[in-house]
Amino acid sequence: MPRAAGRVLRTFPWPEVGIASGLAAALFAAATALTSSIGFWLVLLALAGCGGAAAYVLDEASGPVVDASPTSRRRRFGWRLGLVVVPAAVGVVGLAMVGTADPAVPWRRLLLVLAGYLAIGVMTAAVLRSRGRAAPGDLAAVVVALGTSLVVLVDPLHQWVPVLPYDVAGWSRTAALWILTIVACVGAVIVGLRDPAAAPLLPRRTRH
Amino acid sequence: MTTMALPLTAARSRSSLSVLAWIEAKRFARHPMFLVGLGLAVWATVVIGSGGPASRGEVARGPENLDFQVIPGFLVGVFGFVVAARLTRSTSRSQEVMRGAPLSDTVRTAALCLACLVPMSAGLALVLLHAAIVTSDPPEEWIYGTYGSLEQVVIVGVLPVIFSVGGPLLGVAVGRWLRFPGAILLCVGILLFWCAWAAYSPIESMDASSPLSRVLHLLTPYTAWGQADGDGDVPSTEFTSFTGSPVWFALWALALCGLAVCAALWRGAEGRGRVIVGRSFVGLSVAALVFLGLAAMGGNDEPMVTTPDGVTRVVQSE
Repeated sequence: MPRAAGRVLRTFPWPEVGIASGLAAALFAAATALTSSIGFWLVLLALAGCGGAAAYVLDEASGPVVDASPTSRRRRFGWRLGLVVVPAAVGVVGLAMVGTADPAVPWRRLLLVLAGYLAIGVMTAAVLRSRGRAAPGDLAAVVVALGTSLVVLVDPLHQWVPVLPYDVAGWSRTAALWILTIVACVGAVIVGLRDPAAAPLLPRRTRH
Repeated sequence: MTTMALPLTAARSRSSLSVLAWIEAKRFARHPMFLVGLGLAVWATVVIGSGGPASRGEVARGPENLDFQVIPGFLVGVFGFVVAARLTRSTSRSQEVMRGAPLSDTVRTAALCLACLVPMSAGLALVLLHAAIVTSDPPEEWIYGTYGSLEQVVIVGVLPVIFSVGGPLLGVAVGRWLRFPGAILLCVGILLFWCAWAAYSPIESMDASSPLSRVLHLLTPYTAWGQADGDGDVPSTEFTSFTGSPVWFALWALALCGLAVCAALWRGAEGRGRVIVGRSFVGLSVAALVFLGLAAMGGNDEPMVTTPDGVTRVVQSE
């Protein structure tokens, strides 16, 4: 069993997740060390880096080969999802560091945003995986990092639901938005990680 | 058996380059990420150019006009960086097949660099759109701080175009040199951090009038030229113009674009082409350093605050 676990662990995309998580850790460190107005922007960028790292966990270069093996995609990716712990840990520790350095801002509320970013990262990878990309991480990570940064900066729904949970009055709505996002992402991941040969979710229409 | 290698004639090489550049330009223009970035940039230009809530009389119009450069810079420049890097790497992945084609690596890379005219044109179109919006409803003069008319044109009209082409050119260089997974994300992160840090930190965290601070503020492919105290909801009451000369900075940014092209072409270049690229790199490096020095020495010596009544004063250091 330990030998099998070792073999499974060796197939994980450690370098990719490590690089992206390292980038996020460096940005958190810079946000803690710098005392200028860009600290907040750096924290958002670091969180986006965590989301980008999560987008690499489903990379499986030999995907088309192992898809034909008796081990289902869900089982294989169930193991791989454990890798999300790496960017999650970087994000939690990073937010704690920033919170200690700047206690005036409620940084801890960004834990929910971190969870949302991680979920969006895995969901984007799962969707690309279901569309035939064996290693979707490179594309998914950049899309997630740029996309989430953009949405948070523009805050398109700020009149109704602020994306960042700072406003005390809008906190519950923001929390609900992120929880809904996470739930939707989990659903999309479950659907996206179905085996290619599995029966379709909806019965196919037959033409007469 | 005798093997003869016949050099391609200049005319044939040129026509191959133009054909290949056209193909790469179409690939660039059709890339979903470029189209999404461009669409968002058009939307942001229209919303910010028309003043957003300010145009509806909800709040006073802020000094957002000088910040327009961030829209093409991020949505065309950074998105274009990713697109160019991915297109370059997709060509590199087919290396075994490409080797059979009668085209050198240098020609293929040059074609990718020429394809960067697509985001440059997009940046130019955004500048024209912004100019049309601003001309129809000109903002108050004080929001331009201490910048004269030439500097205003450079900040709002020239730099956005340079950022739009510079990002993709850097993407081609990164795609040529860095092949490991995660390289694009890493470079995007470093690029964004570098630009954000240099734009504000030297001004805020150091003695802004010191030579070191002034050089660090401009030692970047993108920088900010000012900052207002308002935001989308609160009207601005003052505008701080930063140090440095936008005109010389534009030349520095152009030199960086040239250096990115040289870096991309250097990999795989052989013979005389390698010598030309190497010499161009050295020449452009010297020019870039000169432009950087002039940009840091020119313009404002220290940050200046301008208020709506037109009064300008030096920022008091704490």
